[in-house]
Amino acid sequence: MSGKHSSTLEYDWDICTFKVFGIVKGGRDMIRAIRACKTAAEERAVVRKECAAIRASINENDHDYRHRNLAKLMFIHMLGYPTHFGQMECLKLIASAGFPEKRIGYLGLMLLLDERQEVLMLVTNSLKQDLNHTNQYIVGLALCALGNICSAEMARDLAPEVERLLQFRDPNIRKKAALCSIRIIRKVPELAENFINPAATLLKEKHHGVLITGVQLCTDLCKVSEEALEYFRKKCTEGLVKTLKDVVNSPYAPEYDIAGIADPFLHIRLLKLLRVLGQGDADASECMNDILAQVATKTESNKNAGNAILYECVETIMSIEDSGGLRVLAINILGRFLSNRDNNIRSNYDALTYVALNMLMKAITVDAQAVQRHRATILECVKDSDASIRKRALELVYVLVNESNVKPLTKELIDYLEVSDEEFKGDLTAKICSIVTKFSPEKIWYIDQMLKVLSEAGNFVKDEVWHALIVVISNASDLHGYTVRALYRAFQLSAEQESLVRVAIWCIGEYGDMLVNNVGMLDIEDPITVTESDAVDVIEVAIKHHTSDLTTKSMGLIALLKLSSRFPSCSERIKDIVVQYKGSLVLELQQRSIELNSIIAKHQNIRSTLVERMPVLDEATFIGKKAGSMQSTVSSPVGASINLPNGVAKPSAAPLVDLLDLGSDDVPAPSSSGGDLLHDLLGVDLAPASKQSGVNHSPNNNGTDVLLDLLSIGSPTQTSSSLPDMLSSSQGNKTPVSPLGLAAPSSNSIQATSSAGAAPVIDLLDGFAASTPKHENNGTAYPSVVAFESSNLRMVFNFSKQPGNPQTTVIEATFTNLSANVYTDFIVQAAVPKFLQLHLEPASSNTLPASGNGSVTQTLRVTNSQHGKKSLVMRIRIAYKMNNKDVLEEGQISKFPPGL
Amino acid sequence: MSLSVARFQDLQAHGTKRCAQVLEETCSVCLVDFEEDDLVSQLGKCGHVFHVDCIERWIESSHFSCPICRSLFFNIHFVLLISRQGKVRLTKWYSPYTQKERNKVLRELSGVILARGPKLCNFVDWRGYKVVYKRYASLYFCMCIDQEDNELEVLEMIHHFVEILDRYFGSVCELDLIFNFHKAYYILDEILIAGELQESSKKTVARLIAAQDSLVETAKEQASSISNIIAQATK
Repeated sequence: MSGKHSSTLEYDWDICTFKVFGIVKGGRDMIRAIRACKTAAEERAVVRKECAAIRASINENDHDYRHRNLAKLMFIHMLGYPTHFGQMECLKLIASAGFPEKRIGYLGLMLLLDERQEVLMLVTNSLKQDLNHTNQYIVGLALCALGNICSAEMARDLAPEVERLLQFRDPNIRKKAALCSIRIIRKVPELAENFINPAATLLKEKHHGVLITGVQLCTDLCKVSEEALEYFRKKCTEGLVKTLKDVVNSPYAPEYDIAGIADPFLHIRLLKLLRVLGQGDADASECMNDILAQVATKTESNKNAGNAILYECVETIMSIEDSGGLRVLAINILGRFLSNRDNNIRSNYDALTYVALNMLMKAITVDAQAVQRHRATILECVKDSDASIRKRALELVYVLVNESNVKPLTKELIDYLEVSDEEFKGDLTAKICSIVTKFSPEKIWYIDQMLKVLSEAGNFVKDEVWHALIVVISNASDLHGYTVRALYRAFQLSAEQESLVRVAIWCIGEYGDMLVNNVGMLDIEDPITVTESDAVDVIEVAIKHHTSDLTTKSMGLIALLKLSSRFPSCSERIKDIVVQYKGSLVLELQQRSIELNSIIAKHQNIRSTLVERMPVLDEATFIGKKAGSMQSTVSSPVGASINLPNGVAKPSAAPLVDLLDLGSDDVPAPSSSGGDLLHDLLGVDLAPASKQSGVNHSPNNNGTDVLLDLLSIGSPTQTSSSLPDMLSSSQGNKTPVSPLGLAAPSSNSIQATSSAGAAPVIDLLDGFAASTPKHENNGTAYPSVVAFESSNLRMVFNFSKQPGNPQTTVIEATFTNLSANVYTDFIVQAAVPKFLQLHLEPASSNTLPASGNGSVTQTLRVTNSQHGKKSLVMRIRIAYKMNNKDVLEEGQISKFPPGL
Repeated sequence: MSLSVARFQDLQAHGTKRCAQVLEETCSVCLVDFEEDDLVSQLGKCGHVFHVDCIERWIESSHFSCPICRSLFFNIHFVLLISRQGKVRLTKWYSPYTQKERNKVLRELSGVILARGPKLCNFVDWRGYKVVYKRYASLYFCMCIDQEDNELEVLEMIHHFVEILDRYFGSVCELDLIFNFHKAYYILDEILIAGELQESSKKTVARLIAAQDSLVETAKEQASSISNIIAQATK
């Protein structure tokens, strides 16, 4: 502590120094002690001691110390320690008679309490008295406290006092009352109408403080009350315009002058109110045009105060009804904010850039053309050193892009990608990819730009970006050769960009022959000579690169399989590479390796058909799926696509997973008409599989038949013998159970547990148990669902619908007892939201035998009034007696199959 | 806090207060869609809609911000003074925050602001608000405002506050604010009420503070003279 203030100890701080005893030290001593603490623990100890002393003092109800205790508590509070025990002291101080006590009491009230505390209600009476006090400073204290922490109840109780004080003789009280009124009407909007007239009177004041607060009050009144808005618009617009004119043209007034401008705060508040009044009202807007133009052109912009006014003025111009010329003027001001790059006052420049970008973002909806003119400057801001400016500028550029300027803008952004910060690259690539996707004039340009982005920042792009790229490539049949060559070149330069590598691997696997034979050469391309073994090299490098992750490596293996068929000469070499992963510690790779190796080694005859080029991926479906869900991780579908041979059976809705994991999104359930599903190379289509198990699949599954499943070549009957044949050497094994899928339950056993028209199908490789509908005639069928399961009880739902009544679903609930005790008095209750109607049929029995030796079934009919829009949800409550004890189980069911 | 209550269909019919905003269809508290004759409440500032029962329960559990956007009531939500070492020198909350929230805000913001380099702009986006800060010597003055508020003006307000402090203390330093923190609060209360500016004249503020200080002085003299009298009388 410097000696500067120690000589002038204030009464309110050290009032009681003449009566010090015990460990209660003076406030300054406490601050000093706290500041002297070296560690947080030390500080805590000091604070704890002080708090204990203060509590003791409070308990003694010592008047003389109250004052200083509270001051100390405020300091402790500021350090973040709990001080609730001091709240009552505030109230006592406020209730005392003297100004010093009241002053510190109110300060404590505002600091230690907030409007939620019930203690606050106790202060209403004191406040009321103080608002009527003869000493205007005490009235001021009360108003200030009320304005800062008043709750709705207090607002109602004290509004008449505040309203009266708006006409108080002293202007300093009037202005406080005006701000208090703002708080009151925000808390209790219906009180607004009482304040309209007094507020209008305040607008005629000359005192700046009162005028500022009066204008604010009017602005807030307009926000909460239509009536007020209409009133002020009619009666006050002209007056306000005149006031603003007077302020703008006022001579130098030292009291209010900031940087040569008389009271910028008043300027800004007047502009704000004019904005509210002008919005949506052509007459009012017309009335203020002249003065806005004057402010916009005359205000000095070399200091922050002036710029603050200009900024407010621009906002007002953009919000009020259109008056063409003004808007251009406004956007030019923003352009000037942006272009002050040479300004020496760096921080000011940054602030201006920031606000200008913010405003331009709003302005773009009003006048995109005018904003376009400042495109170059905005583009510069994308390269700013400040992250928040960069982010805004990038967003602005993003909305500025259109068909005509997409090429130069993309070029700029991609160029910048090279030098941008690491943490900004993620955002930047996402935006570039999105721009390129949205506005690409032609596919070749799209592919070019994407390859540039991937080569530059491939590690930053999201998975759906390169998934989308592959879909586009697959669709651009005339560009396959060009793309694969471009990727080959890009790979040589930037092999460390993961997603570039993946796309390259995929394309080389698919179109490797085009790479080698220079098929579909475009004029713009340089000739390139790639041998078959060069192509294999690329994949080998990618697989073996230490940064490559599981997805890349798995894709590499598949690509190798494809190349082994396309380049017979490299077959042996490929086999060698593949074999290396037989011993991989990663199961995924090990399994792929073993399977692919067996295809290469033992099944020469079908290999070429097996690895034919992928069918063209359907863009519409991909986009649809992408919109559907984007949350899946990359690795999970890989795990699913090729499962361990001895893995457990998957849940009944096991998805078909495509070869490329392009559908890392949720893959539609088998029953959906999936005419466009991408199929797993080794997964088995449902259709042939269900034939195998001797069950006819439902007509709506025909869609999946049409699909080209890579394995189901030829008719389904062929498949039934060729599949097991291919995957193991057990010739002619016609059982539906995969030789590999050891753990897959037999179809019969599943049929037993899942009734309601869902026949199980065994996926030959994965041991998936996917279900297909059994009945041909029931229209649509749905997989059964384990709706509820606890340690004691399982509830399975089977669904059916009556033809011609899609809204109603008949649910057959089957309850199984998992415990060793018999359940009696078994009752099920269910509840559904309002858009559903539920009808419960009586249960088959109210006794549930132990250990699953039987079940209770109950039928529920649910009618969905919003069928097709919303899916079912249900809460259930199951009550029963076990060993004569009441048991209650509850649960919510939301995982109903889609379409119910 | 009072809530406006309406039937959902009326809200739909009259449109929202902000025409740009789309009326939501689901109550974010209970996740049930609004039915036409449900009693709903639209919050004044942000326009988000909830079931009356749901939002009331939300408020009863002492949340005073919109559950969706945390939109509160005031222009300036809070004023903070943080030293370069991250010590809090002054806090003033105009929107209701619990003590826990306050501590969290302080922790988060001092982390964000102190870490910013000297050449970056004075505005930080933070939880959907903007925090305007300016550094004076070892102290950071921060004010939290809404997205749509005028940042440049707030910068000017901070400067206004600092100039008045400067005038009062005579070239103010951090120690002045530590040992006379209550004075800093008194001054702030003369400049801002309810998060709104009340006085643009530095002179007026100084005059008001001086008048109140002299009131305190008078009371002090009286008190000491009384205690002297008592002391003499009891001798």
